[in-house]
Amino acid sequence: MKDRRHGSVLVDVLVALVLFAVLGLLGLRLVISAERLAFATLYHEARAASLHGGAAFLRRELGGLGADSSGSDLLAFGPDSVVYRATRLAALACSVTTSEVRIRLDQTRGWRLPQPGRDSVLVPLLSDSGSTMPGRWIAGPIHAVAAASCGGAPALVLRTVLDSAQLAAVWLPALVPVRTFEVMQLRLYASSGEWWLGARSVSAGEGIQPVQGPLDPSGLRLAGFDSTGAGAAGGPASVRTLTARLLAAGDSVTLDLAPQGFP
Amino acid sequence: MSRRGTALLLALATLVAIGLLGAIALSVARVQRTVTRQSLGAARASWAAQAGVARILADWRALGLESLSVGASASAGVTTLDPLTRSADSVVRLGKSVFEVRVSGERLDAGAMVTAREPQSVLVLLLQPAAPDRAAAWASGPVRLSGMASLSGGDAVPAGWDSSCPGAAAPGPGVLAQGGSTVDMSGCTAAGCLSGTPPIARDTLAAGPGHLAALHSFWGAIDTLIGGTVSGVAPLAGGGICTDSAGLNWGAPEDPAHPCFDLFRVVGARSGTALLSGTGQGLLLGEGDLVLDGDFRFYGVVAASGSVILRGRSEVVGTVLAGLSGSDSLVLAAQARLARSVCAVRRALAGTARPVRLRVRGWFAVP
Repeated sequence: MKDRRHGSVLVDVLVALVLFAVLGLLGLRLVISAERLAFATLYHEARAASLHGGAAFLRRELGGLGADSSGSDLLAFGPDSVVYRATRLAALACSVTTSEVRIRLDQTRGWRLPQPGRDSVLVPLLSDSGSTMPGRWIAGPIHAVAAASCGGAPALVLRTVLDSAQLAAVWLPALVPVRTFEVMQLRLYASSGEWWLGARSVSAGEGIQPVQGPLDPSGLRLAGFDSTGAGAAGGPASVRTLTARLLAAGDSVTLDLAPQGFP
Repeated sequence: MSRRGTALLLALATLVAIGLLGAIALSVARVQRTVTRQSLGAARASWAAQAGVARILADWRALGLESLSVGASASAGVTTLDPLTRSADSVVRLGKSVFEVRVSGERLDAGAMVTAREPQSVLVLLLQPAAPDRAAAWASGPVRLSGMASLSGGDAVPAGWDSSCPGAAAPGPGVLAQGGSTVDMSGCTAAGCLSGTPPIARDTLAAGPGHLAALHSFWGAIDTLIGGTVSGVAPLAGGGICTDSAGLNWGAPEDPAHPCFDLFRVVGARSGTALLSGTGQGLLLGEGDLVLDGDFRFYGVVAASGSVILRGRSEVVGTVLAGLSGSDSLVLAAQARLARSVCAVRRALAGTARPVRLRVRGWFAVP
C-alpha cells in the first residue's frame, strides 16, 4: 500500500497556515483597533485637559477687568474676539505726580515688571478722606522706567504723563494702589488648517501667537451682558459680566466671568 | 493539537484586547479625576479667599485694624472653611482710610500638602458718613423753642473727652435755617435760650438736603433698627470687654474708662420713634419724625427726614439735621438741650465708618 500520510500532512499544514493567517489577521486588526481607540481617547482627553488650561488662561486674563466713569477695560468685543486692558502688575506707589509714579519693588505683585512703550499705568483718583467712593482711575503711558528709591526702599520710577487737573482734585493716600496694563487681543484664528485661541499684544504691535488649541472652528464663543442681565447691545462699555465658551473635539468648557472690577 | 493552539492564541488575543481597553478606561478615568480635582481645588481655594475677605470686613473693629499705622501690615488670622480649606489673611494700611486686604485661599490634601492656592488682593475704603459741624442745628423748616430749653452754637467738649478732642473749636451758628424758615423763641422762659455766632444763620447754599440724603445713604449700614417707644439705652460690658452685640448698647459717651467708650452706633429709627431714657453715641437716623424725651442723651449726629422734637430733659451733644413734616422742623421744649460739639460729631463720624470694598478695580488675582 502506498503511504498517503505525506499528502495529508501537507494539506493539514496548509489548512493550519491559512487558519493561523486568518486568526492572526483578525487578532492584529483587533489589537490595531484597540490601539487606535486608545490613542484617540488619550488625544481626546489631552484636548479636554487643554480646554481647562485655556479656561484658566481666560479667567486669569479677563477676570480682573474693570470699568469706571472714564471707560471700561474692555475696549472691543465680538463673539470670537476681545480687546482689553490686561493687568500686568499691581503695586503700591509711594509717590504720584503728573510726570512720574514711584512704585516700591517690595510691594509689587503680578506677571512682570513694567516695560516702557508697551505698558501704561493706572492711578485711582482716591481721596483719603474716606467720605466718598472713588469713581475713576486715570491712565498714562509709561515712557521710561528707572531704578529709584522710596524712603530707602528699592523702587522703580515710571515716567508718564497724568492729567494734572484730575490729580490735583484728590488727596491721595500715602501708598497709592496702582496698576500697569497693556492692551491685548484674544481671538480665534486659523493656522495650518487648525483653529487656535490666540493672543497678541496690541500695545507692542505683536503678531498673534497660539495660546490653546487646536479648537473647533467655532471653538471660542464670547457673550457680554449689561447690568440688567441682557445682552450688552451698548458695546463694550455696557458690559458688566462675560461668558466664554471653549470647544474642542466635542468637549466644551463654559466660563462665567463676572469681573469683580466692574461697578 | 492545532485546535488547542488556536484556542490559546484566541484567548490570549482577547485577554490582551480586554486588558488594553481596561488600561484605556483607567487612564481616562485618572485624567478626568486629576482635571476635576484641580478645578475643584482651585474653586475651593477661591471660595476660601473670598470668605477671608468677608470675615475681615465683618470683624473689622474686633481686629483693631484702625490702630494700624500707615504703611504697616498686620496678620488678620486664618479663615477656615473646613479642615482642608483655609485662607491666610493680612491687611496693609495704605492711608488714613484706605487699606489693602491680602488673602490666600488654600486647598490641602489629606497629607496637609497645598494642592491649590488662590491669592487675591482687595482694596478697602473706610467709608465714613459726612455731616456738617458748623452749627448746632440745620433745619429745613420752622424752629420753635419753648420753656427752659436751650440751643447753643458754642463748641462743647463733653466731660472727660479732653484726651480725645483737640480742644474747643470757634463758636458757630445756633441754627442754620434753610431759606426763610422762622425761628420762634417766644415760648422761652429762660434768657438766652438760643445762642451762637450768630444765633441764627441762613443756609443760602441749601446744603442741608444734600447732607440729609448723604447721611441716609448709610441706612443700609445700620447696626440697630428701632421703632415705637424705646427706653434703657445703656452701655454693656463683661469682663472688661464691650458687649457690642447688645442692641441697646450704643456706647458709653459719659464714661471714658468704660470699655464701650469707643463704640459708636448707626441707629435707624422708624418714623414716630420716641426715645425716653438712656445714653448713646454715633449716628441716629430717623426715617420720619423723631422724638427725644425723658432723660435720653445722645452724642454725635441726629438726622431725621421728618421733624426732630426734643422734650423733657433730653439732650443732644453734637448736631441735629432736621427735615420737615407737619408745621415744625425742629422743636425744643421743657428742659431739652442741644449743644453743638465739633468733637462729638467728628468722633461719631469716624466711629461709624464702615469698611467697604472698592467697587471699581478693587480686586486683583495675584498670580
